[in-house]
Amino acid sequence: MLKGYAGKLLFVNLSTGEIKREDLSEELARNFIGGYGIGAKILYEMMPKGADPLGPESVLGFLTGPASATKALFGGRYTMVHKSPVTGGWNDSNSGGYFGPELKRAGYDGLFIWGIAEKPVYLYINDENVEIRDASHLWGMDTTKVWDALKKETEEPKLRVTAIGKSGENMALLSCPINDGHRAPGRGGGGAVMGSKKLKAIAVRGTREIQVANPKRLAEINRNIREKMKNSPSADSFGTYGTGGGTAASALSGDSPVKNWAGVGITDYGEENAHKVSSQSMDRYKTRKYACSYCPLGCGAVYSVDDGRWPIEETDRPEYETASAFGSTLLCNEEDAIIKCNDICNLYGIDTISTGMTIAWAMECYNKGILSKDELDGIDLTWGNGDAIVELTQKIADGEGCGKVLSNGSAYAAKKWGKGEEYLVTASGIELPMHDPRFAPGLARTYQYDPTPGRHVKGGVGSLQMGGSEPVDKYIYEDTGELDVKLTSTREIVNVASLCIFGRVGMSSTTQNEFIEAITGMEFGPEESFKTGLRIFTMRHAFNLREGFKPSDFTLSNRSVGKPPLESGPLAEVTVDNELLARNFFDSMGWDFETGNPKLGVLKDLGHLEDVIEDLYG
Amino acid sequence: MKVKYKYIGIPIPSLGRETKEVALEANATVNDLLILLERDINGQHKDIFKTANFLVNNSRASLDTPLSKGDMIWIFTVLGGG
Repeated sequence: MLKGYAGKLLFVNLSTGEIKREDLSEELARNFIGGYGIGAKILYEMMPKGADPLGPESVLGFLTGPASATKALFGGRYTMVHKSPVTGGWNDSNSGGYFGPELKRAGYDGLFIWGIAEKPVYLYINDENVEIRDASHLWGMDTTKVWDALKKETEEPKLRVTAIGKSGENMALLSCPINDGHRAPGRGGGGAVMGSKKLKAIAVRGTREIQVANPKRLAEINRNIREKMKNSPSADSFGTYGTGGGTAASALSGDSPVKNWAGVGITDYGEENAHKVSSQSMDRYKTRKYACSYCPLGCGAVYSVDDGRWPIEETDRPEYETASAFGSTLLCNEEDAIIKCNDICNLYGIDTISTGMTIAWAMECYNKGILSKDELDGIDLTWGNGDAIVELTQKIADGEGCGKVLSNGSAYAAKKWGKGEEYLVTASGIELPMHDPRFAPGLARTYQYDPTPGRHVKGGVGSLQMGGSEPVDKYIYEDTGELDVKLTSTREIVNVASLCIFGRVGMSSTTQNEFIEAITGMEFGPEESFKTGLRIFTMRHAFNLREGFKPSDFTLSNRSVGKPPLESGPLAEVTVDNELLARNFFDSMGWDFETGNPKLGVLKDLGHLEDVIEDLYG
Repeated sequence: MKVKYKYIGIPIPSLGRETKEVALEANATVNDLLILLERDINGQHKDIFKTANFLVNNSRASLDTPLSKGDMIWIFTVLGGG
């Protein structure tokens, strides 16, 4: 077996209580690496076509990657995989903190859970001891209280926990688990999947050491990263202010959405407001910083708010996505409201991006007279009203009143209430994150056609246009396919290796390959990496194809691509040719743009996709 | 000719975030302004400008955009991806 892996996969059937361990095959590790690579391969095998994402056949996976728990810098991520109850297709979402490395140190590269428990349960993993335990006493608790309760109950102060709050228990589509008190694989409805299984939490304690193939080489790569970071103002900024250090620049430059994507930052939101909701300003509440496992940056911080309308003894600094979703997107400049909303989302287990965006949709509908005050339970949802935003966030978290509908997201609410569809800003039903394709046009292709739609952490030319290492001419749409495919593959490998994308402040475009070689001992040069990244991308895509999706089923709201274009500001007159971007990408992938099917020769060349070939070509 | 500029983004202490005024040659472009600013910061953070975005009088601009007397130039560096 390759080095750098725990060597086991854990399978838990909550309907029968069966727990089994299987060896991680070397073939699976070599060809799908980890994270959603292995996750997609196994879910393709385990889940039948058309399985209800909230039913017993739905399989929920938690996966680490080779970099996890090995001292590789930036290797603290884990990935949750499942069929999304939001989009109806493939879903992966990743999170930092310490939960992932702890799972791997317990001996498992991945954990797969299916079935439905008869009553609320939590999964307790302490090295080889794995138990399904009663969680009736935890049901209704917020995510931090669950963590505290489980540490006491198990007498394991170093226990790591990922848990749903009330929102996940309600199977709300905005819900997600929270690990380490504040980190979240937030997107795509994973909290609802856990809630549907009556799985309140997963508690892990692991004590094993992970052996790597070449410790000296690993240390050398780490040294190179630290050396590069010494001269990086970006690293300084991330380490001091976190991602929220970029909030003002993003809001004013056109990167962030403003006023539910219909506004212009520099005129509708303004410089003063943009600075007010950035970390540089909000850090007056900062009491300490924190870092994920083996992270030399430490982009996290703890706040203590002792003034304003919502004092909080201890909470977490809003990240950029949160500050933007509850800030410029809602025209809100009230930082105490943004911090409070972030806190509610963490405690109740809901995705800050989709929650902010769902409120933005409701806010526009309210201000245009499409939703009435009565329909919003008397909340005066005028643009920027912090009191109203906090009140509505709490209703969404509780799933009460209008919050019961809105807790399932904006697309669900528009359908349920039969109005406001024209003001949705979504990709295949999930709210878009806080980077605007009119600012970085390549994001249109990524948001619409990545097998996990609507994600800013997936690869493509959009990632370069947002602020990569080299300048690019953003508004040329011809001949983007080859670069788009290359960057997509690169990001796949970063993600499945369990590395953080912000490692780029010290990593080069090939460091992830160097890490994999040093950790596992296998040869993993640029060609092998490229091919493996595309194989993993294709595996995720194949999951959607088997569900019956065609490219035309993947949607992206017109407003996000400038149809019609904004009339003023930095994004004035921009209309993204997302169809051309997509056709370029599909051509370069060797995929048919009408059916979405990869050509047989392409699948054979990528290799290790026999199951996909069988399903598509017999 | 004199133009005004403001830098917002990855912190560069010598640039601050205040509006500043600078004299440029007639027919100068955004790129000429950057060359001047790079001198001010001793090249230490020169690479940051490689990925900067610009506005001139609140409209999208590029390195080649010509400047006129009294123009207001915004220089942004976006962290991206967070």
